[in-house]
Amino acid sequence: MENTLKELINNKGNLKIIGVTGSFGKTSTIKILSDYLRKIGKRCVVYSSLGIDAFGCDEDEEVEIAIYNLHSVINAFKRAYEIKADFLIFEVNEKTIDKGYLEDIPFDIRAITNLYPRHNTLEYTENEYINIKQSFFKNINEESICIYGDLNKQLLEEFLSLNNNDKKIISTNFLSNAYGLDKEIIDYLVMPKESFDSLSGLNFLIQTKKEVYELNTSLIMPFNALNIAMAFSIVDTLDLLDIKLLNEVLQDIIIKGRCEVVKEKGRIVIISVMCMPHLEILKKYKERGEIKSLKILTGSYGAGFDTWDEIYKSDKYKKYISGSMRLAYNYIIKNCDFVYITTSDNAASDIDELINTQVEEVKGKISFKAISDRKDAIRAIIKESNVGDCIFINGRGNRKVFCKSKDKIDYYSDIEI
Amino acid sequence: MSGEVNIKYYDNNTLKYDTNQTPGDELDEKKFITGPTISNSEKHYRILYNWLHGQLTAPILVPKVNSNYTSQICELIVPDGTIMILYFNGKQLMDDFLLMNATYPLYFSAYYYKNGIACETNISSHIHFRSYMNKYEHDITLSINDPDYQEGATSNYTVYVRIYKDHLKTKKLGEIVLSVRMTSTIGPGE
Repeated sequence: MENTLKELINNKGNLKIIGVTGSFGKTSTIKILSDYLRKIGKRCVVYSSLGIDAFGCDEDEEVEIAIYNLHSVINAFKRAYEIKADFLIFEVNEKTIDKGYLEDIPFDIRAITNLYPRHNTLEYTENEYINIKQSFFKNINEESICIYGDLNKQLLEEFLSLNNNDKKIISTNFLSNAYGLDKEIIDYLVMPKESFDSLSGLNFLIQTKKEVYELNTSLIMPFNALNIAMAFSIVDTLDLLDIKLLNEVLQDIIIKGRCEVVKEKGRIVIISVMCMPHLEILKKYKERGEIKSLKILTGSYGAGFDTWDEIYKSDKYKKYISGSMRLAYNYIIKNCDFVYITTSDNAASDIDELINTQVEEVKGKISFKAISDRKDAIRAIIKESNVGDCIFINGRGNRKVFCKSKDKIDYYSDIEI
Repeated sequence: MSGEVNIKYYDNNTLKYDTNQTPGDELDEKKFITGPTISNSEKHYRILYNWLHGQLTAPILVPKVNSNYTSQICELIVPDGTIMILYFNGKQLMDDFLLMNATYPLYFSAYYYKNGIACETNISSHIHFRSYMNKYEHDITLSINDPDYQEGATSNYTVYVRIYKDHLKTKKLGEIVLSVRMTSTIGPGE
């Protein structure tokens, strides 16, 4: 298989290969980037957790890991050659790097959105996590341009020292001040406009070495400004920037399951994979009068589905889930008005036990309702909502596989309900 | 044309085909499958099993006289909806039973198209006669031959199931289409 991959790489020709890694924002960045590239008429093959371009796969069908093995990489290249793609874009997570599947790929651009060392403490220590992410930038092909996003000063210096390749740096006014970064080194500086963020979207500026650009998007979470800046920097580096077209893409963009907003009958429904820092942002919008009440639907994961990796059957995982759940509910109690407690991939765990454990976290601290069937819970939170409510459906994003017992699955996404 | 005879084929007391054929030639088989009609989450098909002349099966060759044949129908009931297969470590596990009930025992092979090429796929069937419904229950196991399938992703397949009257699969009755989805899960999401 390695020989097949070498042969495919040798035939790269004009195909441009982009890899985006980071703790958060990879998927969103890639979505913005690929939507824009397609808008300007470029053919793209995308392998991200939002979907992969492979036989039988719907590009909008969520995958658990975009690059699962060497086979995935080979498939991606084959597909790129089949459609004579201009770009092959990979979402690069730590497991993919760790297993070495992308070692020999001559990326034209390597980007890191941000890095939170405690992002995956289930599988890696902080140092291991940092080292893995850094290895994506070590011993790399000369022509690869490296783009660095939200990294604190120490991490940025470490990353900058990993290679002698051309590099670009993204930051914001706020972050560069907070990290003590010299603004001279920043290639893309994000600056909020007066009415930066609201439920209607974001308005901000990106200052490059030559010009200042205005950007407007329907995306509502402020951190998306950095994801947009990352996509902007990649497009600019490729010398393909058309700010008008980029803004057109940003106006209509939908990133499935990543703070996907549905407005219906005076309510706002948000489908999301995670709730931090989203809920405190929505609370801020509520304090401004944009939302009347913030309600969340969430559920704890179970353990031990038959086909899950061994780590998800371990005691370590059960402790991890318990800790995460406590953290999440403390956060929810601080920021929300009501919580609907349900399940999310209960797998082999006892559903009643899962529900009761969650109820114990919130009893007496916030109004709640517990409904074990997730579909029923979604229907209930919508039906029992009022005009002006923001309904946050948390935990699954656009995931469709629902492990409802030890070995049985259901197949639906939250937004379908 | 002189020398030809008129052969009529009736289904449900309605004339379905009206032909002129040459005696001694192979009788035009006129196979058909109608359906599906969907009710109660089931797809109902009517498959021509035999043409009958009275109680006897129609001959293989065109007779010397004008003849009428009536249909002997095999009803086939297939669950509606997409068939889910869970892929794990090279094995495929069907998420639920796939039971197809029919008036007569049937035999199957299956394929799907990939880039315009038909790819055979595996289908096996255990047949039980269920006297309480007077039907043959086919307990089907389906697995997709797709060397490019990627674990962690979901792939959708349109599978064509060929239906045969005989175990050796020489007497084809027709084809039906199944929607199959293969997925895998290695963890509880992000």
